[in-house]
Amino acid sequence: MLVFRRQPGESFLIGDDVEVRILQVGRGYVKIGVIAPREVGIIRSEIAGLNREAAATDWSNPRVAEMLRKFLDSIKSSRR
Amino acid sequence: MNQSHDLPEGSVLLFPEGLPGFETARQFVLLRHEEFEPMLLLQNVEDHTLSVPVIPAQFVDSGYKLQVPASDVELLGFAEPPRLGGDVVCLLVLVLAGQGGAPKCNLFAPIVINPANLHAKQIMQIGSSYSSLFPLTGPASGASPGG
Repeated sequence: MLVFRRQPGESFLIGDDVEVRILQVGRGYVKIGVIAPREVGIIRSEIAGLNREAAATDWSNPRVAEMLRKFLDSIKSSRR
Repeated sequence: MNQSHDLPEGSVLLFPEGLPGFETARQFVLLRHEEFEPMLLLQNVEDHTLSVPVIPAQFVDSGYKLQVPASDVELLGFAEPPRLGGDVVCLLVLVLAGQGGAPKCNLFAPIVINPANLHAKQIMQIGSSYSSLFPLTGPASGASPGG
């Protein structure tokens, strides 16, 4: 992994056409701007992780079914 | 009531950019799960073992504010930015932890489908305060803030 320091306002390039700029550094977060061609998909990595976690749902686990049923029953009853 | 979607049964959805986490998976169908309605399973056409549980956004938050950037309006073939309640299908990924606890859903990145051409994309709600892991404990109109 390449590691280097950047100050707020500074940027770096990935390839020729993707620029990543550090916009703001706060307590416990970094605000980042990305300039990239439209065809370059940018997605937070946790979104992909959550999709993989959702796809790995263990339907044989009775607790999964129980909690899901409880929630679905509550929204159904609220719509009656 | 079929608020889940207005798509013909067996419609094949096309994700031109794939589904995050499964970028090579482009074609999906929505399957009903009788036991767990209104939940649906978004099942990959090529690999039936790949399916993601989803729920229509309006069942979680009737006031959900969908934002589709101009580039995605064009990608999905909408004439104008779609709004929930209009001609759009908006699904939230359900995350069901095996160790129990309330199920959670991804309010931050809904799956947006244009029913006119069946094009779909998971679209991040940049600038919103919707949580990507919102705990579902019951109906929650105005379930917005979360991080």
